[in-house]
Amino acid sequence: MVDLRNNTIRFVFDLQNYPKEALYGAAYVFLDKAYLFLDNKSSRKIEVSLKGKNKLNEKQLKNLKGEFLNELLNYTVRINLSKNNRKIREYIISQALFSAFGDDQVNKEDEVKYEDDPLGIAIPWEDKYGEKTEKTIKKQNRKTA
Amino acid sequence: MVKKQKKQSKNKTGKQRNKKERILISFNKNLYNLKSIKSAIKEYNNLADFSFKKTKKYIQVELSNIDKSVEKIIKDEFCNYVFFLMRS
Repeated sequence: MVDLRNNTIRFVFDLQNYPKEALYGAAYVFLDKAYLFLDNKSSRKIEVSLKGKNKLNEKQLKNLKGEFLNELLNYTVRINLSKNNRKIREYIISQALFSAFGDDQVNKEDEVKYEDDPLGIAIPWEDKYGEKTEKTIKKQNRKTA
Repeated sequence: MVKKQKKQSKNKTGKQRNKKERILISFNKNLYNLKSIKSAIKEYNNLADFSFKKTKKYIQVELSNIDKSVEKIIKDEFCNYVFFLMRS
């Protein structure tokens, strides 16, 4: 309902379609643009009064209402998304915190000096398998031939 | 010639105040919280005299002795400020 004399537009919407947090979010965005006032018409229905800070005509007041409803929808989507992604968000954060916390300990445990040589790379062939005998040399020569 | 002077009260800062004007604002308890209303009253205290009472559904704030320079906008600005405090 447009009230040109008071430079105000009033409308009612149902809280079943929008969460209350979204209403507060949208209202907060509009604090700079308009004067806001809320009232409960029934347990689920809320009346919003938007009063222009400057003198507005009917079209501008209707635009203001449209912008408010868009902002309300925007906040509703954001809240729903944050609810849906809550688990994965918490998982990512916990992983990030865990790795940040345990980084030093993990590094110390995993840290291996090249002198330790756990895979035995630095051991010479002869020490590992013994020196080449005449038999092994003959076998190799046959294979290459 | 004697000049007629209107009776007007002055607040602490010496600004003129309108004694007759009274504004009643009813904040719904489901939508507004008392804490932010009280904080807003503290901030606006130098612009008017405030009193509030609770009813079953509403918190009613009455403004009287309002500073003349802000009497047209004080109600709306006050409501917006309550909203601002609720969010912060």
